[in-house]
Amino acid sequence: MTIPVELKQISDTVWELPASYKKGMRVPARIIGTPDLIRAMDAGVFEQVTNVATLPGICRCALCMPDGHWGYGFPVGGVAAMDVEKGGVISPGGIGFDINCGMRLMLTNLTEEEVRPHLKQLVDKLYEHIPAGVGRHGLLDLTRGDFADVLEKGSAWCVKRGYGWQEDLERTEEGGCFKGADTAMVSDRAVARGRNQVGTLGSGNHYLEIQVARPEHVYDAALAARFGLTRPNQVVVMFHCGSRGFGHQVASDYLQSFLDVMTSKYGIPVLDRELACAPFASPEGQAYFAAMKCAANMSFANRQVIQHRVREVFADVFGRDPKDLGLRQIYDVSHNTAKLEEHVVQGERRTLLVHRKGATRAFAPGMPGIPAAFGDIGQPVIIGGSMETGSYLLVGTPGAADTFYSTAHGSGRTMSRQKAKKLWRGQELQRQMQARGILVRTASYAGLAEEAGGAYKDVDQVIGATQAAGISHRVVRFSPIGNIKG
Amino acid sequence: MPFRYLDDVAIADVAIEAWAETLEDLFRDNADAMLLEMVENLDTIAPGETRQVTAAAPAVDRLLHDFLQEIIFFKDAECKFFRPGQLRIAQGGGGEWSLDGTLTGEPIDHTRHAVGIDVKAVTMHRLTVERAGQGWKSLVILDI
Repeated sequence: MTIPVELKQISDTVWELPASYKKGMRVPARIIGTPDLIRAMDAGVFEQVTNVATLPGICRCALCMPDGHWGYGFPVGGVAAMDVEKGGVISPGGIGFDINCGMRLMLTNLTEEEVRPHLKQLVDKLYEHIPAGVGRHGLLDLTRGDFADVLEKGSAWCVKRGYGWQEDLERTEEGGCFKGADTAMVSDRAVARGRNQVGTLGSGNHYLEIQVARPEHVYDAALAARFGLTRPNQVVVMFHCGSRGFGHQVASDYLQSFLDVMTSKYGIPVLDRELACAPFASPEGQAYFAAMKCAANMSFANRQVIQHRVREVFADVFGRDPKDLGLRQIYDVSHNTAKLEEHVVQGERRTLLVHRKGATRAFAPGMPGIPAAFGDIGQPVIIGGSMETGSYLLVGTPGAADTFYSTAHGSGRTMSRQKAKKLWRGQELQRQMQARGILVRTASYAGLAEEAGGAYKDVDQVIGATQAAGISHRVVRFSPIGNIKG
Repeated sequence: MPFRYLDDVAIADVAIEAWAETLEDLFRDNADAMLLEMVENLDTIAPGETRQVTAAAPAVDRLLHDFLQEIIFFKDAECKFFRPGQLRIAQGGGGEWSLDGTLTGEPIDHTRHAVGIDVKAVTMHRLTVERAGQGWKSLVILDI
């Protein structure tokens, strides 16, 4: 890999490219990682994180998390905080096409021993009730009016319609609703793409897993107990998906419209058209922010309906009430958003628009915005690894102030999809995983091959880097036993 | 094939390099390359339904972007795969580019179509359409 010679190690886990590295950089770029992870970063990360450092209003530094890799515009793993009172911009490329793509984690009071005998039935029924893959409708038939309510209210709409419990909302980032969503700011095309997709998983790296917290992987038993993880080999359900075609269209629409005004109206040079942006305090910036919130709410609702289906399936298979099975939501957190937050910059409290693209908010104990139940332990952070390895529950820490309270979001890809398809065959991989005790149902064998564990970085190394950097604290590692994917 | 997938660009996504004698063929090849991410065999898409497609853009690369986005739109909004039929691409006196033509396809059916992965969007990252000798070539990165 080509690591720029200007890259300086400034602590065990922080690496910096100075503002002199590239013309136009307003701040340095910092990458979090161990030496091994930095060596494995692709060239795109260095190019892209330094492009981000040129954006107007950026504060302190442009950041890339340890799972970072080549994206478009921002690197995946990118974090940038813009001072909105000092010309700071909003960029769809700093959020990603899949607005509010995120993770949800559900508890059960069952153990692996209790679930194993029913695993095949569970996986089959989950696959049947949670549409996955290209071109699949959701099972809800929403009118345009219903869909507008989803866009404005997010998860609360679902709970009101019986697709969830009140406590789910308290355990979702932003209470499951970004306030200020304005449906007048979204196109008919976006609505047409997304209206039939509430309750669908999508494809690519989106999945739903049944996982086990093995005793040797409980790193902080006291904190694990606070989340309800008290039994050896306790089973949880984790899933990863976003705002589907609706969010993708909102991002595409605004990226194109920003390209038309970025230079001509606002005089911002274009280093990569995928970094199209507009001042936050402009009509264009405000319109996108209000539309982005609609997509964020669609995504919360999508995960809320999927959670409801999970409860239905478990209740059906075990013949018991979901409450009796302890199917409580642990947390739901986004890793593709821009949010207004207060942070201290050079000793001064400022309102910043924090872009996180493939990065997870990780608020420290005591910060506002954390569910009351977890106020003293920090915000839960859910990180999905590859389908063959494992995933993590962490909490936010005070040490994350330097990353605007952000941490990693996944294990991070290290091999192209094309290469993965040449190395693995989906059906063979499915058989191998089954032999190792992981049952998989997929809509696409090619898609399965692309998601092979070997195509990703080592999730344990990535989490180790976030722990060493002090930007999140490891609580439990989960091992997959069942997986459905698109 | 008049296109290839690049292994070393935007690794989490899909990068397509294509080349053709005419712009119309270049656009068709890009559509096929994109569809081949979503369905393993293009011959399984029956031309049962037709849609008119029109697009206009200030530059030819953005025209290609908008054209491919049309196919992505129908994939989500109607749950149908569409392939390009006849296309006509022209540049107006003011430099504006336009496209009109037809798409043919059918509803996505997981029992008949061996589906691949969902394409979320055509990105603007490194998007290029340029003359190459007597013909044209392009680079398109799709968000997966």
